[in-house]
Amino acid sequence: MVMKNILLLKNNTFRFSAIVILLFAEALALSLQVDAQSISPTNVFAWALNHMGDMLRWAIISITLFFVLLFCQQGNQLNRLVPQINTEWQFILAHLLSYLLLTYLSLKLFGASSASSYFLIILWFLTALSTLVSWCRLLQPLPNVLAFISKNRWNLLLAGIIGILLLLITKSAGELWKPLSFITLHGVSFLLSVLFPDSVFIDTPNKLLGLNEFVVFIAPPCSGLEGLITSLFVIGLYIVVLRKELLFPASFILLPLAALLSITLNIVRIALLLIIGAFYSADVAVEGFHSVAGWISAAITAFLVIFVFSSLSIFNKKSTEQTDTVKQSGPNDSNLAWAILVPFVAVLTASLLGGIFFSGFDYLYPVKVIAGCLCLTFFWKTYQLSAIHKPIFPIFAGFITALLWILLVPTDDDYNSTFSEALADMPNGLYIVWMSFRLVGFWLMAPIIEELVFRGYLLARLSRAAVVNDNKEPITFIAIVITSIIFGAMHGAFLAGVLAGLVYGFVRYRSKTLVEPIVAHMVTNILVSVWAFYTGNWGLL
Amino acid sequence: MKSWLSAAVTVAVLTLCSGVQANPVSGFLSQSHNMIFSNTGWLDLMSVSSNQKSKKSKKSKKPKQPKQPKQPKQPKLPKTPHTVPELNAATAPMAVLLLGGLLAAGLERRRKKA
Repeated sequence: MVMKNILLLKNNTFRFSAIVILLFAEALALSLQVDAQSISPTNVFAWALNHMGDMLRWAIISITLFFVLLFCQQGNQLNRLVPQINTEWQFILAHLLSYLLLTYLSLKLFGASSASSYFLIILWFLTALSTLVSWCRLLQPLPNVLAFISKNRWNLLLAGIIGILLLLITKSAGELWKPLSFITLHGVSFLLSVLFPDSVFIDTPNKLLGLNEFVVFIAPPCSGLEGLITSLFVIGLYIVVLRKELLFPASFILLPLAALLSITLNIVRIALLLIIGAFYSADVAVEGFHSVAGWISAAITAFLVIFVFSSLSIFNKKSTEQTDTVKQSGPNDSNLAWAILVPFVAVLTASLLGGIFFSGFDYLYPVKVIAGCLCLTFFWKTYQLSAIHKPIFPIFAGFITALLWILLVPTDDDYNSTFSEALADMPNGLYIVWMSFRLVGFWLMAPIIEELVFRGYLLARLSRAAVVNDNKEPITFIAIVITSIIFGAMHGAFLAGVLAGLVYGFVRYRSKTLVEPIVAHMVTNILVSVWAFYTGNWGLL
Repeated sequence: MKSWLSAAVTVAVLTLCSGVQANPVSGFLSQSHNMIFSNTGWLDLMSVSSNQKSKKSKKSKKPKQPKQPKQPKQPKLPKTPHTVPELNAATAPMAVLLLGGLLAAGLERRRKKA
């Protein structure tokens, strides 16, 4: 009976996923064939058609935000959102016919050189509506769809408004950057004038700033707005999550403090960039330092506010009140969570800092491995990883993932030649040391740290379960999907990364321990590295 | 709670808003031709390596370089001005994870102490 239910659930989830993918595939196929802006906005309908791209972008953003809101509010109950799918073939046929008609009308309408008739445009809108409605019918009977919309109308409204704001602000963001560019230009100029009074070059109208022969353009993207808003977002989120423990309104001071830190650090960043470019190497300044310095500034701001300023007593409630709120918020599994997160943060920090000095080839990879391994050793007893008794399944999963990785990650000839040349230029001793660290990092450190974070910490927190090694609490499907998407984004090769994340997530779900996904990940990395050595496709690593 | 959540989401959106300007995703959010994706280059996001992304972002920024300044009074004229994006898209995934890691570590540290 249980098995039957599981099969039903999987079957249902599969159908649901297939219907969602169908809509995406249809929209993609249509959008690649036609150009909405080819329609001249001669009347109100043509104008609406001309802006169809913006409307669809708005729809995608709003729907994404809507589900984020729903996830925040309902959390682990999201599995219930997957409806019971029982679609009859007539509805599938009706939807496909409607889509075919829409495609035909789109080709006719968007491909026309002359102005299109009202009739054709209105017919196009009606067919588009019919395609969307028939797609909704594939999921559920229309009254159910309407009931769902009615129940969640406020979330939909909020997501829709934010979607519009996003599009409007994105279009006008260039204007917001101007005042900050001015502050940054003169801030950097002042700082450098103090240090090098006779070597600073400034051209205010063109926003150019130089030191000796090295000149930078303070373009909108370097004005500091990106770092400012990123810092405000991180600190804003921190304040929201800790609202029961922090004192208000005093804690709101953390926001302008973060903003001030961010702007100051951006000024320091550009000053340092000019100094490196003028006195050391323009290549290191532009291709190394600049590629990570902004993010490092944002990380320093976040670190200072989270770990230093917010700990001050003026921002915090008394300890007894804090303890009460923490007790209410769930099991105190934070020792393990802390032990999992510290190595992860250490390795990422080492990676970013390493990017300052070199571009292209990661000569400082050993530093990252040393930082990660030191942290892992320090916290090893906290993890309490048990021995594995049945390694066949994780080994098989690791093999499958390696196969997927090799097939899906494209060959990057430029990267491979850079990598091979850098290895060839190394003296033998250095080559052996560097490669040993690379393999230790790839085979051992990365699988342990990544699995602890993604399948240990993140999966448990998103499933509202405790962070423990042998977790018997249920891991939710949506949590596996979200962690896999983040895992894919982290690895650059998005599709391969997401699939790998899903496989490891499934291994974690099946075994209920962290050891099995770690073993699977290790097997994948070992096989992938063997393949990379054999073929010279270093981009796989 | 809903108002807090709304505030957090609004800030998140504003972050995205600024982030997209320097990010390859801007190709998806701000392009203006086809109905959704006029430039199929967005598909590269699915598989491109960070190394390639870095090169692409550099290439895409070249046209933004301004003309050489015409200021005869200046003793040294610049050769080629460099544009310096604040948050580089090539390292964005790693950096965003670091920020997320710092945030999570900060929260867990407080819970641990309590």
